[in-house]
Amino acid sequence: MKKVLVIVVSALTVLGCARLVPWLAQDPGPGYQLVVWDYRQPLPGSEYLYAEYLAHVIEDFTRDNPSIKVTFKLLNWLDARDELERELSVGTPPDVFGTVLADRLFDVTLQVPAGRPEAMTAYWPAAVSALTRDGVVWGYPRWLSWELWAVNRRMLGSEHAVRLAVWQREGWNWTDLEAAVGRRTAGVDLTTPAFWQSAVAAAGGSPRSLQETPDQLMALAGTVARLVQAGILPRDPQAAAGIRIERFFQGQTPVLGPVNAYLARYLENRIDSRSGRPDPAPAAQDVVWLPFPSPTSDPFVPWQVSAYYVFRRQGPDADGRAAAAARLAAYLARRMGRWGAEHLGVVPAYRDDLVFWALESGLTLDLRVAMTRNLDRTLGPLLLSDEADFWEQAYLQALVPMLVKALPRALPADLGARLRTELEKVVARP
Amino acid sequence: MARRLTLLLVIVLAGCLVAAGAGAWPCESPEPLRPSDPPLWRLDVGDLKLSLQLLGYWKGSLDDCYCEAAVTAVKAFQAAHGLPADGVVGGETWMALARRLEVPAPVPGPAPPDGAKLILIDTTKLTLTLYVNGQPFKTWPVAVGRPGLPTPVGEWRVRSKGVEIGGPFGSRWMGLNVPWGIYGIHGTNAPGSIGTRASKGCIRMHNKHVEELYPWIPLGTPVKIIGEEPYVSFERPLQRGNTGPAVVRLQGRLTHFSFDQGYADGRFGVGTERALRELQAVYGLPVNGVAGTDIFFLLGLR
Repeated sequence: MKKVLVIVVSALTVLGCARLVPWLAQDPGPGYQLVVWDYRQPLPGSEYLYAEYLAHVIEDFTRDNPSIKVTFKLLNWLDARDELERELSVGTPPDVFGTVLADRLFDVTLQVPAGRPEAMTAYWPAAVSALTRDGVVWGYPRWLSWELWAVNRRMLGSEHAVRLAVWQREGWNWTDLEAAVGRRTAGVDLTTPAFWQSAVAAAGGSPRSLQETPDQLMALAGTVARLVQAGILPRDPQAAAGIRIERFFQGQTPVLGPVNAYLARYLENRIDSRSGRPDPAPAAQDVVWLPFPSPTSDPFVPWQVSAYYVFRRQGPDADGRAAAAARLAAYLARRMGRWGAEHLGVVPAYRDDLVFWALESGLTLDLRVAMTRNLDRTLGPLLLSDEADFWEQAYLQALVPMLVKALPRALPADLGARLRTELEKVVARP
Repeated sequence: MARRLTLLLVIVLAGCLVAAGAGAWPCESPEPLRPSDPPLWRLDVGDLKLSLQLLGYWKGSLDDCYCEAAVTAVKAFQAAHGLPADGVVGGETWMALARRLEVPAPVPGPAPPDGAKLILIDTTKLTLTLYVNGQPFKTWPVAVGRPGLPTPVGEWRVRSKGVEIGGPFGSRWMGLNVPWGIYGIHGTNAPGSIGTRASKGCIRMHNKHVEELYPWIPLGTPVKIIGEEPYVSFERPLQRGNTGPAVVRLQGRLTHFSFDQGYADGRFGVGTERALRELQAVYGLPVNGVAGTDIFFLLGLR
């Protein structure tokens, strides 16, 4: 049913409607009381930083739109999705929902499209494509959050240390990783779906679905199995996943990956304040941030898009209220994207804020160059809620547990066959 | 009637001490001190010597040895105050010492206004402050735990109250819900120790002061203890069901990192696990609700 609705909306678009949702263009009438839900953005020692900034931005918005009143609530990361789905099931969602991971549509009957991709040229293509389904953009992107790998320059041989800048600019692959790590073991977490999804995407597959690109996962699993059995990647993935950060900062492993924007930001601050390091523990200038290893010579930074969704509430003048919510969502996306650029180092989805990001993010030039090259890539497509649930469960409950268990022992070729069987079972499920 | 009530409270308190199990200890020693050969070493001897010193009966060191010289000083004090000069320091001798060192009753002032109450104990400044609706209402001097027997830093609640328990607990007792021992705010029979680090971890007040505070504090009142945190080793993982000072430290750091886990009460419960899982989700770590090496490192505990 949901798919049918999406197709209908898409068809209307293709047929050449002047606007996807004409009433979104109208001026909101007076007296709207909008509700915004957003994820908390916890930073060490700054519990209220995000909340205060959001309140300030909303105040600015209501000053320009005095007929609109706005209240907001910040949600725990663990509960936000469930809470939204609960409210959707009874028809009372917030008007605007800010999510840190915009990888799914929640309810196409209540969710309000933001426009068509070709009309959203103010945003980066990667951000827009991640929110697009069948030619319709379903949210206002605010920032793109990244995953990187950290390398301790001091632990690399001189021949590899000089190649770091090249790897930053042009990307690196699993063979480069093997050479860089030498006889040590890289601090890599193989136990989370994020690693496998990003690695599949780095190999040219889809991070959100494996239906069309199972070959990338099988090739990747073979490579990873070989590296695990050679001791380059951890032989006990479960145990290694919980000690990799400390090992990196004690100089026991030269590579740490993947590292998300929050962790990278924190570790950079932490490393600056550490004194009395044992050799070869890294000093701040020794840590080099690299893109994800990729089999191709193209730097690949896995992105997650954060966005504001708009939901239509029932009641009198629902269209006017949704139009007001859309206006607010677009405003928040722009302003809060800047907050993310400054405090998290994430890339603002709004193109014009790239200079602000370059000045305020604190990331190195090489890394920024590599990242901006990725901003023109296509992500997505946006999944329907049940599709997203399906792949989430497939990764969490079937694929990753099987891989983690099999990696230390299975021959790379056997692993491919087992994975294919597992995948066929997963994909065959209704 | 009053005697029966007192007896009942003593029984309840004793029951609590027993129920707390082998890992717990009362924060004061109610047994009398007796002369012995070899001499007895006990933590409350330091309090005794301090009281005797303040009254001019003792000039030696303030160690914990109830040695011959100390017995002699006690006998001199007892003789001078109409007590049997036997060197046994029980309730009567402690009370006689206390009466001569106790502060005068405070001038009656206004009761605190209605509102949310919080007791803040600063083990660095050796003070206890009553807050009402977030505003400081009154501050009193206290004694806290001696080195090696620290007063438990954390966020607790008053879970029991008692009057006229006597002995080292003085005239009032307000027990705290610390999960790894028996700790409380109480009066004392060693008022000379107030303003020092002399207790086994409890918070001692002058009897007159604790009597003033006592009626204002309902059961469940939050008690926040701040100060230098004891050294804690973070070698073993922490998870749901664990208790102790390491959990208090973990909870404090989760709060500092903006992950709300409720009170830092030393119990790794649902709230702590939920905060930890959120931290793991935000920082891209395996979300398992267990605090291990990387979590300790990330939170600055290792």
